[in-house]
Amino acid sequence: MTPVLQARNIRKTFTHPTALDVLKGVDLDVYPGEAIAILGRSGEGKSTLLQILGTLDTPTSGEVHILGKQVGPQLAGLIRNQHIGFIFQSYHLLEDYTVLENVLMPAWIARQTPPSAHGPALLEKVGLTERAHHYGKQLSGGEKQRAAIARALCNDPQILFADEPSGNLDGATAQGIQDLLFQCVQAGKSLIVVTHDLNLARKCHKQYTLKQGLLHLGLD
Amino acid sequence: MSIISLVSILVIALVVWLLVVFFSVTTGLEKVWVDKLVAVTSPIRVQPTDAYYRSYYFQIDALSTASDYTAKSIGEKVETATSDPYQDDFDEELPTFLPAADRLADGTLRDPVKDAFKIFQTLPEIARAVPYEVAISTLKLRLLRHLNNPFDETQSFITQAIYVTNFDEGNERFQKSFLPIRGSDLKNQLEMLTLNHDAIQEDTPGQLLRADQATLSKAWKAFFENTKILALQTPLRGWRPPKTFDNSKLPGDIKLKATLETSSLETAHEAQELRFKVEWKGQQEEIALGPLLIGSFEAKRQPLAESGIYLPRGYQEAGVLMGDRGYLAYYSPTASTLQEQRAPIVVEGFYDPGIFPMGGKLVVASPDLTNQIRAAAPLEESGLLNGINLSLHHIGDADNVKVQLQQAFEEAGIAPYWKIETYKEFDFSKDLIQQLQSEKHIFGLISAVIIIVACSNIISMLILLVNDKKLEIGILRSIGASAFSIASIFGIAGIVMGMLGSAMGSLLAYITLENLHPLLDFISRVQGYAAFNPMFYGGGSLPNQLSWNVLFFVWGATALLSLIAGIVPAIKASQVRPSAILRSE
Repeated sequence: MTPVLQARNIRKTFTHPTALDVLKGVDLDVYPGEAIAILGRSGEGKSTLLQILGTLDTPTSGEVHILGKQVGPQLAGLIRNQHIGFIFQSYHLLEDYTVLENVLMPAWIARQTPPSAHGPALLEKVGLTERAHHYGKQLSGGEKQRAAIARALCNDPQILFADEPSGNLDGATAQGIQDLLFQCVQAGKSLIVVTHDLNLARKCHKQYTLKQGLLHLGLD
Repeated sequence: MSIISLVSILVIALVVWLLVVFFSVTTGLEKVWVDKLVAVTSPIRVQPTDAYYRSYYFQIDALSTASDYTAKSIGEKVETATSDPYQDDFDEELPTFLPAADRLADGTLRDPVKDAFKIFQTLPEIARAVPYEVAISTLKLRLLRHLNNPFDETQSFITQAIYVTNFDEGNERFQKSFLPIRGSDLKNQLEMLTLNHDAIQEDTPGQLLRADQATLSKAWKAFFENTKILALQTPLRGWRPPKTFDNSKLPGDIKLKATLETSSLETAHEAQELRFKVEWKGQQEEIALGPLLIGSFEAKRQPLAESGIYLPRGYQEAGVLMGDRGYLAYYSPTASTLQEQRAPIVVEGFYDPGIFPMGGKLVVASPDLTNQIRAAAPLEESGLLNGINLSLHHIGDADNVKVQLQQAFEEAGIAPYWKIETYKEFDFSKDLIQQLQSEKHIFGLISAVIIIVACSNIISMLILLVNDKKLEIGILRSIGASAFSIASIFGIAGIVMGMLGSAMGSLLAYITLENLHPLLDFISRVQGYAAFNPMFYGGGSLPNQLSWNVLFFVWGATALLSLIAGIVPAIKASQVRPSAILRSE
């Protein structure tokens, strides 16, 4: 089976204020329908790795291939819009837009016509039909994260990236969000999740630990 | 942030308003001034050069019997049948100082005047080509007032050195500069018709001579054939209403519908004895004109008589009226001395010369009278005062037509004989036009700086906006928005702000110009004196037409500058790294 994501010898060095090698040669393969968890102590570079894999950041050296294409500055925007969905710990909704508008924003960026066709279905999937016309700032934390998941699914991406998706939520709400993510995995999407939550990590097919700039398979 | 945006837009609106109003008014003023200048002269003048006056072609007339030993003006050269009037077998031998004749290959004399007129006909931009003459003279006007009242009767004189130029009946632009005829003009004309002006050229005209009744009746009938008095106006004092009007106490400044009693044209000796049927509140009465004023009328302007002249506006303001008589004095050299000649004249109207310095001294007379005065002096001594006026369909073609003429004259071999000048180069107007142009350029430069400053406000505002919206930019980048599309948002925001300010400013300018006169009246009332002197600015009032050229320029400049102003923040926005923003959040 061909991996949907391949990372080879990813290195990242921050030069300011002092030189710091955060990633020292990370290799990773992620296959369709596979969920992997990346764990590690705070400051180890988990989020940096996630952003490099998700094309939001560029490595100092190394290559990332998504769906067989090498990621470069020309393709990054298109890949993020068409093949990747992001879910952040802080949700990152556009507060001045309604839930429906937030969810459909990737479709608008892709200039799909009509962009609103599958909006209600996405909201129904995450249980936010009633909140479609509420503004981001009017939602609770759990609802915001559900809206963020719906937005991530808007253009039907193959890979979902989640950075501490339930980190700011209470237990029950966090469980609901995790269930939603794994429903996506069951539907064939790949999931790469950065987390401190061992329970969430154990639900994934593979667990990696980032330690001293290198990725190790298994829980530390 | 929205307050800063609003302020940026308002600043641009204010600047656009200022520029559009200022340039619309100054462009309008320039058009009025130029229109008046070319009305009295023409957009292009073609004048003979020294080479023309030294040429065989010009000098041969003074040496030929067929030309009556008199040099010809350009108008006469156009009319004459033969270019070379000299006859070998009849005229005396030519003097040695006379230059060789400029002959064509076939031996005929080159005719610079006729050749020039042929070229004029080939250019469709030229509407008319008319020879003009300007003569120098002294105008003496005798102003007789209150002839009907021996106690109030006054006589005064105006004497001024003037230029006389010939009237061109076909010059529609000049006819548009005529000042309207006033009731007082008509009444003065009626009064002047009662006098015999045969002695007007005398140094001190003695007792007033009356015209005989037959001549007077004939003159009045001719006058009323072209003039219809519709209403008489009561003066503030000095008039007693008829008894039948007793019950209606008539105040001054009341207009009474009036019809001329034509029978009175045969019997009246004085203008005040002319009788009219008047109506007041349904009552009719026949009354004498007396001290009543002419309230409303229909008067057709008559073709200029041989002794008729049109005076510039300044004379009207000095109290001269249509119908006033006088003479033009000029000097004619004889063998031993200069002899003063006097040609009688009558004022037939007034025109607005605009603000050009020479305008106040330029008297427009009939072509015959102008020619008579100009012919008294040797033509070569008044060389620059003779030439050809070219009227164009569009004044804006002047520069282009000049170039075409210059080329055609060179090809025809007559270029050395002519100097072609557009209205921008006339000696008496170029300083003013250049001053106006340079003022416009300077203000244009200042305006450009003001627009740049106003638009640069957009840069600060948008940079603040980029900083404020970094998270949103990061979110949009994370869901696939390209750096270019993010940059476009801020670039477009810059243009939209610029154009919005531009549109608001233009609308304000339009409203201001539409209400310019009430606005100036208000300012004048507030400050207690006239905000702008309309007489100085060339006519009845300040021009208030929106200048589309200015509007397009300001829109274009604002759009361009606001686009440039939007680029800096747009680049900054496109360089926002989503990883840094989303991580920190």
